[in-house]
Amino acid sequence: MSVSIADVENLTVQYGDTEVLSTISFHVAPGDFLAVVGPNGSGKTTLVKSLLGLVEPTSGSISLLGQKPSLFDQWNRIGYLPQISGNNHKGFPATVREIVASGRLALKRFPRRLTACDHAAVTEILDIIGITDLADRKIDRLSGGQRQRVLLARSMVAGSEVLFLDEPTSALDPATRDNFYQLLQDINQIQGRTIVMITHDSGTVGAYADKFLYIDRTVIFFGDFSGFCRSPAMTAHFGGHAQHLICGQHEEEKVP
Amino acid sequence: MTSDVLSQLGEALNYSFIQRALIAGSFTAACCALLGVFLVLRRFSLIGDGLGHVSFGAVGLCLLLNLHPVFYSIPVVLLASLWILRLSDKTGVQGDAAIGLTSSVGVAGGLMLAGIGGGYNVDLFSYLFGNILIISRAEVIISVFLSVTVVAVISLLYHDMFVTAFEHESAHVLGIQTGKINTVLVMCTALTVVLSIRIVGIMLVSSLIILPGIAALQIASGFRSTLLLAVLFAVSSIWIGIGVSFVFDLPTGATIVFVNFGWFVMSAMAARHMKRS
Repeated sequence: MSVSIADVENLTVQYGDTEVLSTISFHVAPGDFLAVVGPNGSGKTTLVKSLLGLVEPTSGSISLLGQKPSLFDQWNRIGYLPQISGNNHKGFPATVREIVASGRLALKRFPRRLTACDHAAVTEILDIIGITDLADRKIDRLSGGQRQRVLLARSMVAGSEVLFLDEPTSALDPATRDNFYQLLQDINQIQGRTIVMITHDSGTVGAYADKFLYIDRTVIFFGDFSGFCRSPAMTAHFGGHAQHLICGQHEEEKVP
Repeated sequence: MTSDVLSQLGEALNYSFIQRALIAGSFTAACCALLGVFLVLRRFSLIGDGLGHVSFGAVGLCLLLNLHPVFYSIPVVLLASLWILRLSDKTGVQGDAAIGLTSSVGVAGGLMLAGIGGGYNVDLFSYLFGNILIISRAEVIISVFLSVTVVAVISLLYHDMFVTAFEHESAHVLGIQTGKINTVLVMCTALTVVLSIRIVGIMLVSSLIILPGIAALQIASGFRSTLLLAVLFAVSSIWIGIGVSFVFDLPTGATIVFVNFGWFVMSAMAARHMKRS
């Protein structure tokens, strides 16, 4: 029996007196494509950061690949694309190739050195993501969408089994976004990698994700997409009209 | 005129005090430049200034106790660097405020000790502005040894330091112990600051750390080239600064800083030109 990817039980996170997450529970199985959705300030990023050991929970338990995040040491199995904003990477002098290559460091032990094999993997992933032409450009000279693709390449270059993506489509134009989702679907369905993706793009992700976690500081809904579309809790929270707009579109798309 | 200057420079190279200044200055400046790139990118560049001020207190203490000011300042400044880190990590005090706090305590300590010691005020204040031309043979040896150590550490931890400077959280998810990398970075900075106070003095030590890095950041096209350019600017500033100050009888530390500033201005202009074209 394979170890589950993540188990979260009654997770609560507070910053000072402010409760950011309250009694969150859910489970991620190998091969899942989980979309984490919710309004601004609902705690989506804090949730993923808690899973990765970047934020200390106030109470509750988290298991990531069978380990507590604070003791986690299987980073070679994890890829992470953080949320980016306009000021990220401003003035940083590295080239795209240097940034993407740093994704291979999870596979190395001290003293970390990159080999010809690592550089070949970088060339391959740049090609897969379609950013070979940017390889020698400086990261701070790129648009938000280009930087997102660079960081996606970095999160994938080590061949990690699990990808945590924090709003990876926020700066992409519609055509690039569709290609991006197609790529994620291939990664998930053909390569069998698990994806946990935070997004506001709930209108599109429904066609690709097989599980939904809708949070607003606490879990409003967790389950598969058809359950999401029929959930009374979501209808009460979202309003039937908005829920219909998201679900009507993708139920048609998912019909073979 | 030109031949006069050249002959004076040739003559200068024959003096052992100039040779010692060039050797110690080049090694220390190279360390400052390498560390400076990481510190500037982490927005922690004023730590050099803060630790310089702490070294004022440390030098005061050493003079009071009749100890060698450079050698015995090292542990004090190392401890101060760890204190700054701890203060900003554990107490929620912002990094710049932690530096300011430690820096002012360092200067106050130095002034207090100067008041108590009385007689050595002249010695203490000579460290404020440095004098690279009076570096002893022992100081040259320790400068070279510690500089090689710092460069070896940076070389071993290059990728860890690179990715931590780029994105702290992503570095954590790549399995890098970012807390330890930060500790190594500030401890190397502390060592380098103590070595640098003989070159440009406590007041100007942060310029050796900041200026070559920000000059290189204007025009370099990759991370390794940024580090190499910063070292080139820093070492050339030492050689040009010593040469110019010898020929025109100017304060050496200040001349070195102005040459570094000149590199920054030229780099910024070149960057602007490149952007336009």
